[in-house]
Amino acid sequence: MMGALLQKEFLEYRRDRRLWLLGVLLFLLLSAASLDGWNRFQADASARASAVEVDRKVWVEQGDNNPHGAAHFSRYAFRPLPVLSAFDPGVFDFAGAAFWMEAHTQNPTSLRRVEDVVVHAPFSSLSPAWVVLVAGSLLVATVLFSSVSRERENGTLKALAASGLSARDFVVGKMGAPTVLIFLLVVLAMTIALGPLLLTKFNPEPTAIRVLMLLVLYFCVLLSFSFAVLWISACARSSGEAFNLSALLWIFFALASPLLAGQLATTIFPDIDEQSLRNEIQLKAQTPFWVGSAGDDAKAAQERAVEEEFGVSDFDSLGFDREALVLQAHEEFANKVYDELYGELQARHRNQDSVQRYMSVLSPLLAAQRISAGIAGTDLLAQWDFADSAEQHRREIIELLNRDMMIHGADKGFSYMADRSLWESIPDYQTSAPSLKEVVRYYFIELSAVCVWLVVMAYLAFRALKTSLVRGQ
Amino acid sequence: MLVAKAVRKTYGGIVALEDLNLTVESGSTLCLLGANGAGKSTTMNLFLGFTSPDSGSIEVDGLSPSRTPEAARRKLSYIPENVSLYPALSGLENLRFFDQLSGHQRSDGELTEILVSSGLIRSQVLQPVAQYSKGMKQKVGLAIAFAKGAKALLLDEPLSGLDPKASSEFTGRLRQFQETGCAVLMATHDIFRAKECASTIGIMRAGQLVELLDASQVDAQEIERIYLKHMREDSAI
Repeated sequence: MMGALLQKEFLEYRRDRRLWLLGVLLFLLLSAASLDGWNRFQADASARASAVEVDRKVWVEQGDNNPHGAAHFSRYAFRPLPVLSAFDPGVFDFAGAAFWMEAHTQNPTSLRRVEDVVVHAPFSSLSPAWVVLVAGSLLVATVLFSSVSRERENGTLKALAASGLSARDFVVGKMGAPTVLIFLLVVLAMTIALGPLLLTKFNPEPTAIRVLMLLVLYFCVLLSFSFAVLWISACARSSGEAFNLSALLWIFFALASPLLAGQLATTIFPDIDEQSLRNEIQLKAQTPFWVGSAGDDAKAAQERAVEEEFGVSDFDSLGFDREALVLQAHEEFANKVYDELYGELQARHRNQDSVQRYMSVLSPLLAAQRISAGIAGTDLLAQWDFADSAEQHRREIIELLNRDMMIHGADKGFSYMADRSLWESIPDYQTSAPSLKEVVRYYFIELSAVCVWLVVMAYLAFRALKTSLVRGQ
Repeated sequence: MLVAKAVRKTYGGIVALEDLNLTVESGSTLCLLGANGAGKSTTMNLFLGFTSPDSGSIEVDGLSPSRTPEAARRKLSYIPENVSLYPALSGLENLRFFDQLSGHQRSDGELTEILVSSGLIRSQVLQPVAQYSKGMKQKVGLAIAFAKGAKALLLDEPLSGLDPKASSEFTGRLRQFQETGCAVLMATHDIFRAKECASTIGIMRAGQLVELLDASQVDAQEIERIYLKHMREDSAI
């Protein structure tokens, strides 16, 4: 009986013009988005590789230079570009891709993609991930909203009940058909979206696991949404009402909740003005050290640290350059200020992110958007990881340069010149996206929300379908 | 086969059925006549297990539809006023689907023969049901009921909206059911068709079975006279 019902459901799907029409539309959208994502990834990957190469070449081949002059000239750290950014760019279009590792200053990340894509601005959200989730859920809603209500209106629900069909077979058939449909939809969509990426050179193992996780995520989310629509269809008094309620649910899940979450986050935790941050950095990290006497303690501490390291009681007995020591003392002094000010900024961003996290409990689609970007390595977590690791690298290389100047620049100060061997000894910036373990830990609430939505919606749909058949209406 | 004993059914304080007693034996047909709201459809729904009696009992071949609805429904075929079919599917596909739900695995050839013997023209069998007339759908409904091989057939106003030729064909097919030993319970407004195919005619008024007539003992005019008498009493009440 269950098989007959499934067969009938698929026959109806096959003859449903809406499904074909929306399917073609989804295919076209997905193809366009995938092509765009693929081109964007290739362009970004190529630009990044070239920028990394040029940065290193310019750095290594800068010739003889004072290490502190080189520290001001310094290098760039470029954000890692995960291959899955072509599928889900997450926040990467809106967050800086480069970090200037300059002496004395912790810079914000720069080179945001949106600054260069004005022409495409209206379509900037059209990523394959967005299409699968938002357009895919729209297709699901359109096809399924009348799944039970139409049977009730046509009288076939009563006919099914009168045939002696068991409630279990009816429920499994009604819920099984969309399950198979969504599985095929997600596999097909992921193949279109990720097919070209599979041909690129990348470390296959972690990406394969991430692709699998994305597949499971989108399947579960679309399935929970389909169960919600089935539940509505079984409870609604008419197909018109089922359509309106399904459309409302889709609008809330797919469009309103992300907007609402964003607005709520910045209302509760307003953004910190960039100019104010710069002013505060100047006031706390630069002026007091160079102009006032606030840096005296830092200089003394730095002197003691060097004396301790080299086992002497008087820094001057080492014959090292005192200018370099002061420069490093400033670094240590300023770093504390940066930790405080950027710490506040990051805490603000984390608070904003928390608001979005808890809002995502209300919408499995919003939760999925966040998890998807996390799996793709293009979320805020990856961005923070990049900014933190780049800043850490900045501190390390500036310290190396200051140390070289301190040891080798005695009596020469800023006229001391280092050569290529020093530049080559400075390590390149390297990092990778947060591991899947970190992603799972960070998005635990969102993952739980998706699971709970799936279970609750499956239960509600199950109950409503069963009741519909038993009552024959 | 179909038994109702002292059944009472109310909906929110309104009495739909009161002390209903009826029996339909295998191979016989009971036609229920009555105005709208007389309780005919409620009686059908009780036998189908879509609703339960407040008191009294309902049995389908010894089974209680309210306690074991699925088992009871497997013994029944049901044809409503508007036969419910899937419009995107052809007559053959609809029949195949309901036939499979009944646990059968007939070939397309066998199913086509059943449709044709129910009055459908062979060329119509593969057309989508969306293109069918009401009469054609009734024929598919009969084919589904026949293919199920149920022990009892419930018909709720199956003749309304059918032209005289289609009605005549329908009652003709109905007699085939009786010949197979099937118990038929039909609710209708059509006195003349009721007389034509029923073995017993029941008249329902305000939830009660007020008259039970042996169809072979009365002619259509007499049935009409008795029926109208009860309807006038109903109006007076």
